[in-house]
Amino acid sequence: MQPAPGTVVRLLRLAGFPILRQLQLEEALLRATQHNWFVMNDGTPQPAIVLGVSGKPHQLVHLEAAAAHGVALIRRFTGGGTVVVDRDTLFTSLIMQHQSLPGVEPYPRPVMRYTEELYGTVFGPHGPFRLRENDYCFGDVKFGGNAQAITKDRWLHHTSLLWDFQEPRMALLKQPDRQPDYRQDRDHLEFVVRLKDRLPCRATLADQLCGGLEAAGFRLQESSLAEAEEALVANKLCGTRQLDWAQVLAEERQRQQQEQQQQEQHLSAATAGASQV
Amino acid sequence: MALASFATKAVSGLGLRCGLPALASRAYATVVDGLKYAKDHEWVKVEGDVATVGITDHAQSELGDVVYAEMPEVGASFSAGDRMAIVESVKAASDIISPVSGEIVAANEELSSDSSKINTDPYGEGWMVKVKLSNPEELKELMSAKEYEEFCA
Repeated sequence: MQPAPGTVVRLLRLAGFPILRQLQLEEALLRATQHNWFVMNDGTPQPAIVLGVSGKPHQLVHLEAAAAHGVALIRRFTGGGTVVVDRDTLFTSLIMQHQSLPGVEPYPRPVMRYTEELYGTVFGPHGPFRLRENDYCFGDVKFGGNAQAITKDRWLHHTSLLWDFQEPRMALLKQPDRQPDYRQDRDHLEFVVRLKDRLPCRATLADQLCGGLEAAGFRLQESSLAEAEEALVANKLCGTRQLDWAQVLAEERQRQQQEQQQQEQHLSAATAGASQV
Repeated sequence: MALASFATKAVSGLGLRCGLPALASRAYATVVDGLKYAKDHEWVKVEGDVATVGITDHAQSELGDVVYAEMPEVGASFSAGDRMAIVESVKAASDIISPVSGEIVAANEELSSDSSKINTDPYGEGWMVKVKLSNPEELKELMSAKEYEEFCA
């Protein structure tokens, strides 16, 4: 699936850009521009836990521990699971107009088939790379999460690539109820792998990713942050926000109280029923 | 799986335009006569000045298993072409585009606890919203069942 010759992808290179701002910017580029974009960000300065659009904090995060760690809690606008990100996470985001790749229908599976092929040219030389139940893996260990947003005839596919990670932070995540079969109930530390253990050089990965896009037939055009941020003014819909820890913890305490009250009511009803017998 | 289940329900007389047996191949999407269809793959059923809106069998099949659906609030107003709702499937948050302009008078609250209805019964229990139309003339822009079938082909 090749684009028409000369199809432009605007390239935005960032480093140490806060993930909250990056996600807000990506959403604006998706919704409020008609251009294709490839955004790369080498690390976010402060650690964060990033939930997908439907993620429930109490189901996915050890809340008290995460709050005590001072890790920001962010809800993003794309689907998918929960990730812990920090300075050693590399982010990429491909934003595409359907007409630029007419052979890729703007639906989740066709988009992921395309990106698997695209990223395969970059990661394939370093191991048994594949998209496995929608995760980027070497064999049966995951090195990158991905998620998508689709609107009309535009789509966005972004990834968080684990160059390295801190095990105590990874342990802040709970085992999700919905998990891929290949995970086989392994906890996070057994299920994910550090890219630094598989790839020779972090600094060259960005160039390799750009090379992958050029090999796929795109013409890359460097863009500045100022140019990209014009989209923020035009965008009216923003599904990305930082959650307030005080509010999240208060809601969780209320939820637990309600759950306990319901359990006590059920127990009372059961006891009353048994005594009548 | 979702398509087979839907096809079984559909045999009970929804006026399907589909020449295939109940266990239909996923290569074909089912279309219901009497509805109007948008290019973004929503269907519209008009009763008086209220339109019921959902997504088509083609759309639910392409999206995959819907694990989350977020409907608009009753009272919200949209123009045709606006994002009206979100569904999540296969790690993707997909916008559902409003095919008509108007005010939301009902939203299918069942979908918040069972979003799979969008897959298993897209033209029935998977309905998403009811809209009081502010510009019924827009309905003329929508496709008939036959036109939508040709559009999807």
